[in-house]
Amino acid sequence: MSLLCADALAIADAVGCKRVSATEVTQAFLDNIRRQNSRLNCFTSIAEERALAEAKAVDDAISCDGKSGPLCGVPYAVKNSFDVEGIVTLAGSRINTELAPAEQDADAVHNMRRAGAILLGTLNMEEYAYGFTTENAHYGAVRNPHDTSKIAGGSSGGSAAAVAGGLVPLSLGSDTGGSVRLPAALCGVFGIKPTFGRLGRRGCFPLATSFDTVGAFARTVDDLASCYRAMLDDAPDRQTRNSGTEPAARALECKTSDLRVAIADDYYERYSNDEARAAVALFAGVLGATRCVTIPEAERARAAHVVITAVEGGSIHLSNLRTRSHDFEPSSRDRLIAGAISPASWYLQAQRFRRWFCDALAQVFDDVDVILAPASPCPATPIGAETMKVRGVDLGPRAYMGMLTQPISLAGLPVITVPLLREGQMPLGVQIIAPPWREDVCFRVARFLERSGAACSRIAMGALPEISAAELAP
Amino acid sequence: MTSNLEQMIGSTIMFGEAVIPVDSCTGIEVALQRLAETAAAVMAFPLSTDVEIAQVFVL
Repeated sequence: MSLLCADALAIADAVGCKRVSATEVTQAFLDNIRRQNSRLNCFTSIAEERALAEAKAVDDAISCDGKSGPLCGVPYAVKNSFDVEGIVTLAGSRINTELAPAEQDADAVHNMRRAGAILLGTLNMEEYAYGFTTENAHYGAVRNPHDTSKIAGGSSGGSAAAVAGGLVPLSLGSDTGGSVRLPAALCGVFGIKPTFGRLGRRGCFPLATSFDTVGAFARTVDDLASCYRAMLDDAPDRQTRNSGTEPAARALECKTSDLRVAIADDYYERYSNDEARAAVALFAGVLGATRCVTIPEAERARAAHVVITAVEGGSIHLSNLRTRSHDFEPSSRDRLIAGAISPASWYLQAQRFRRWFCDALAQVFDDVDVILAPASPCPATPIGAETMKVRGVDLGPRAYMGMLTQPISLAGLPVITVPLLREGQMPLGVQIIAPPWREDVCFRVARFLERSGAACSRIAMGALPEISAAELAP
Repeated sequence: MTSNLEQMIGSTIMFGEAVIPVDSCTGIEVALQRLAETAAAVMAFPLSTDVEIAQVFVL
């Protein structure tokens, strides 16, 4: 198998056993990015010098003392809202191009380096992460590797498309209202949004600090778990509330027969089309789940999430909105200004409702262990489409494609999006939702679905590069 | 909110130091109207005074 098609752990194993060097792996992936990126528009910067230096350090460490991290030599890339030393943190904006390059890596990047992973560059995203399509007016739309006329989803669209397109086996993103879960679904890869506060987010450009969560993408559950474990920090920053860390590796060996799995109904049926509901039904069948559960006040939970995000986002960008609003994307600018001039009573009531909603969901989880729900109302829409039809109603994809992920963000729950690849059709994804701090439960279910063959991810047809003999693994 | 909306007179809106063309104001009005409708659903939900804002900060 080509290195370029290998999953992350296979690469780490090959590098750790010296079957191939980290430098050879890195060079092969950098070459492939140069060939493929113009088609998908994922990368906004390629960190070649840094990548080759990191690879050499990994090779030297293995040669000297045989030591290697769990992700040694594994190429990855990050949403360009993550600080990377020496690179300007664009956060998808034109305004941030005037900032100085970051002086140090974000915590997540630091932790990946500690695990031996090799950073290849930074990835396109929605401006300031405020939208669900990654049709970025400044840097162009990210194209879905399964059909380049379709959106990749957002806001971490470049991160999902880079993994689906085979440009990297792992990538990092962030999720405020669905920005990992949604592009993972539309691009047909696995994506994790951990519990709010689980992972350190120092060095990540914020959208709404009440919800911002670091997450990751991969094509296998093992890869996703390894990336997640690499990012777990022993010393969380002040904004994190790390507690009850579950050993994901051990959890992956468990079965799911002891789990009470239920399907989200009501709001999740009303706002998803036949295909999305069929995807949930398929996975529910594999898991033997027949029971339905209602997430209470889910529509109102989305509304509260929208209000809090608009107000917090408007507050973060208030100065630039006042002085140079023309430099924002029009659609995000209008929504941020609306948030900036909203009455405080809206925000306070939304935050109080959030408390009520968290308590109500805790009661739901007294009776179930896992909730299945569609990640998106429908598959990826064409780039440039102003509307998508959801059960006969026209809605704007940029704001509404995440309407099934936003309610879960209000409660900060951990979720893994599990992909469903469909022959001749665009991928879909299903949210595996667990109680707070129970990422291990999400991993168990995702692993079970993957092993059953119902869920899988692979490099999108048409994205596979022409492989030269030199790029083939020994 | 009202004071800002009242500035939507003529061909521009003043938002802080920014002068935004009126065609862009339409977008802001639409965004604000949608946000107001969204917020109305949250405001309409009856909450006991015992329900406090979710803890955000860790001391």
